[in-house]
Amino acid sequence: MALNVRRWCCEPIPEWIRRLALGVTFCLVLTVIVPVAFGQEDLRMVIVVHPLTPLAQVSSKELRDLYLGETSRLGGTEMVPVNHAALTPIRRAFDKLVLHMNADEFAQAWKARRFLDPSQKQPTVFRSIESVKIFVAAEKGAIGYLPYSAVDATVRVVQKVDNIDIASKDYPLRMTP
Amino acid sequence: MTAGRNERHPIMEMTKEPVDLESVDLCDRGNCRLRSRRYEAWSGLLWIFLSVHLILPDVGRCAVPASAKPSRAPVEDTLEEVEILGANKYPTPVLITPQNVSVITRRQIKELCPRDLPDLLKLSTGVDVFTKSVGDFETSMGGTARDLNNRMILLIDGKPMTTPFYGCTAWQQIPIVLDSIDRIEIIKEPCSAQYGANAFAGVINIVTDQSSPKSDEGVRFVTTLGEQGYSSETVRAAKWNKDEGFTLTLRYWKDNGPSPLADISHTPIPGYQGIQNDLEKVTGVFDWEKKWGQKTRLSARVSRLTNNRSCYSLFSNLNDPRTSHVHDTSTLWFIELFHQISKRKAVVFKLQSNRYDFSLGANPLRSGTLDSRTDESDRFTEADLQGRSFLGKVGYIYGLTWHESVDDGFAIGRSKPTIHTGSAYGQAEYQFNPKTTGFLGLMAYESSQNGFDYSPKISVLRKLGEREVVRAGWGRSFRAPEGPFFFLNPMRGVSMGRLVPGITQGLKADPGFAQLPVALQTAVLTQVSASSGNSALAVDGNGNPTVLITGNEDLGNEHLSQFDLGWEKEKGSQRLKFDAWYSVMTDMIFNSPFSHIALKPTFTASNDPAVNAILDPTATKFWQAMYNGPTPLSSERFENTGMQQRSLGFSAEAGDNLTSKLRLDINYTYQHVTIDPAGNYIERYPPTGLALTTPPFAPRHKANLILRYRPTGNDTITAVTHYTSDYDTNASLLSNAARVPAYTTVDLSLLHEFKKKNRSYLNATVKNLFNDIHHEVVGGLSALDPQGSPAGGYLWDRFWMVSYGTHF
Repeated sequence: MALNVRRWCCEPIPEWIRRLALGVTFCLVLTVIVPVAFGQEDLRMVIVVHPLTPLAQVSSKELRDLYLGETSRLGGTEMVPVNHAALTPIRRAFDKLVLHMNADEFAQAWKARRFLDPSQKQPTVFRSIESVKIFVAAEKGAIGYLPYSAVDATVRVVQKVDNIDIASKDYPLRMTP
Repeated sequence: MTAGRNERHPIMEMTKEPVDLESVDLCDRGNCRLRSRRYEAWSGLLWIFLSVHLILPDVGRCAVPASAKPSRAPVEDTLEEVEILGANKYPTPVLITPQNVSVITRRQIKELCPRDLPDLLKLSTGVDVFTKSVGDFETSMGGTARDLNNRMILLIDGKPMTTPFYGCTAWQQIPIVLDSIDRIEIIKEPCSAQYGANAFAGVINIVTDQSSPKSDEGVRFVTTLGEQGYSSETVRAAKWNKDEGFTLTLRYWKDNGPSPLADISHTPIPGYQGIQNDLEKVTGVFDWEKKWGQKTRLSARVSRLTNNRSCYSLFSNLNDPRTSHVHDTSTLWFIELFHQISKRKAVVFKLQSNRYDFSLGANPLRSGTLDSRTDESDRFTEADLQGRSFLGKVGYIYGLTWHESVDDGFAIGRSKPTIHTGSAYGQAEYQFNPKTTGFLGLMAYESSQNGFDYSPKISVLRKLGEREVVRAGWGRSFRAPEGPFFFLNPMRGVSMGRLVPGITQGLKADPGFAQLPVALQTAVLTQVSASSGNSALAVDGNGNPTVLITGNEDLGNEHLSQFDLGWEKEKGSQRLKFDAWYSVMTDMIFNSPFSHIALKPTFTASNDPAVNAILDPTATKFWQAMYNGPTPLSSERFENTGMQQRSLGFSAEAGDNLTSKLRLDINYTYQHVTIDPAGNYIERYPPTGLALTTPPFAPRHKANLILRYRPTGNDTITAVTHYTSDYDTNASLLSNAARVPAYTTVDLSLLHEFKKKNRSYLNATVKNLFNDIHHEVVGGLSALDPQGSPAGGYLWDRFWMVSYGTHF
């Protein structure tokens, strides 16, 4: 037995085991240690507007009214809401947290609204997160929502939603992991 | 040509919610829950990236300098689906509309750079388009064409544009600005249930951007130049301020084409050299809108068109500047008040007025003078009170419409007859389940002229897959005959006899007339010229009296019953669409030779007692002589005959991206239209005209091939090949029935959109590239030209044009 142990210890470790161990270690570092060390995955979803739109805070109800066509203004500014494609994670989160409905209910609500008033414009749906960001950055009055990680200097982030700062751990708009 | 979901148009890529996951980029940067397995390997790195952002929380926050603007909004990346309003009266994606609809989008219009609307409409399946003169044409669906076609209606932004008394679409009088068209919706089914009389075989709804200042503020300018004196300039200005806005659109259009037909220059008419064909048109449209919150809105539009043409016309002499000049003016306005009563109910009130005035030179051979003018003024007023409810899964639209049309024109002797109509309508759309939708419409109609009528419509749509549907429908529609058909008076009405030679010459040449005393001849000629404007009598080419067409106050509506079946599928970039129809038209109206009626002359007394002294005792004898002459004077009138027209046809559309830059779309329409009893199509005015074996203007085959190549993101090359098989024309005052040969045209357009200047573009187009010279619409001109010509009209040859548009 001792002989076997010595032999096992002295023999060089096969290359494939070394590589496997390195890979596992690397993955562990990336997927477990780094998040633990630096905090959880950032699932915050932020409201973004055109850079020149002076909107510092917004309430969920205002967002709901805006996205369901009950109003077209926020803080006296004419807004152009934009949306993400249905079934995308961020859209599902927004529908659930802000609109309190799913995509089908949202579509049905807009169908009823536009049936009554065909001049109503449903929020424009963009194919990708990048497209939403570019549109909001370019279109005066545009408003949308993005993962916090996608935000850059081209858009203005609305700092408070329901009076809670996006830096707060109680910030309400978070996507489901 | 229908816009499909997966056509790779920069703007109009379409889908519907829920979105087809295959086409959506779920793996975009920043989307932190990515399902694809390959992304799991990168999740760690992503987390590191996110963690860095947590450590440096200010990175990515607002603090945006105003100069940090991206180059352009990614409008090409929207998932907007093309929607239509015309079919169900509320925005519905084309694919899930339970009716046979084609849409021509703004993008397609921009790519094709049309000279006029026929360039666009002829690309749609199931639609026949025939150019009559520059700026004037006829459209029809399902083989139901006729001159002054009132078997379909045109809407602009949902408002009817039919002429008040004829009920047809006078395209040359429509105040439409080509560069303001957002889309053209073509509904190829009976639509009387939604739109009342004359939405017989279908509806074309042109949706403009004039009424939406909010969405497209600023100033837009488009200029187009081309051969044959073509010049078009459009300026559109739109401003929206808080809750109020306006749009002003102006267009000047000049066009001397197409080329006139050359081979009828041996006409006996003095001074006649050919068909002049010049047009000069100015259109102005002003829209205003005010909103009170999201629930109340008031909008108004005033539009005016002035149109000066030198062209062939029913009552004018060709190429004679004194007579061939036509001046049209149309003034249209409406106001519309919308109020949403609750979350489920809304009410709309609309008041609309259309007025059409035109004056044209009377034909000298009919009037006896070269300087006479003929004026006509028609107008209608329409009020519509509409309710809208959305209860549960059912949407209801219901309302009452009142319509009054007044005619003050030569056709009926300036008697200003008025027709009142009232109608009640209702429609419901019910979603049985997520896959099945049903539509039911009903309209009841009462007219002061032709009594009660009704129109039902039912259609069902069933989803077979995410982007695959089948639809079926049936509808019954009705056409109200033209006003003059009711009111034509033998002594005042338009004579429909052959025009050569004219009445006075004809009378002089008539043997019976020559036997009358000279004093009576003089008195009669004077009387004819003075009191009846020479429209009382008609004579044939030998100077003999011929038929007159008289009014029929008992005339009833025509009816159409049509079945439709359609299937459509989209997958990726592929698109397939198939539609078939079968229709039967009954109670067809003709000027029936089966019902010659005795003409009772009502020769009014002259102001000259001396003439009366001669006329009164001998009038009866005179007319008696006319009756008993070589060709007995008789009269026809319009009647609902027992004839039926049956139409069976189908259309097929297919499209796919051949490569990432190249797309091919093909469509084909087949229609077989027959008359029962066969060979008795008698809608002809000269009694000697050819009776057709098939209805006119119904080519059996029509096909389009559209190739679109996008070498770069800013350039589009579009090639369109159009084929129309031969077809019969009917006869008109100036032409006999003829068979127009088949033709093929190839158009090529190069569109360049400037990268730096947002929304500026340049388009160079060649129409009919291979110069297949062909005729359109007008039949044989032997009525004008005794030497005869087999087919008349206009010669369409190669034509280039360049267009530049910008927005600032």
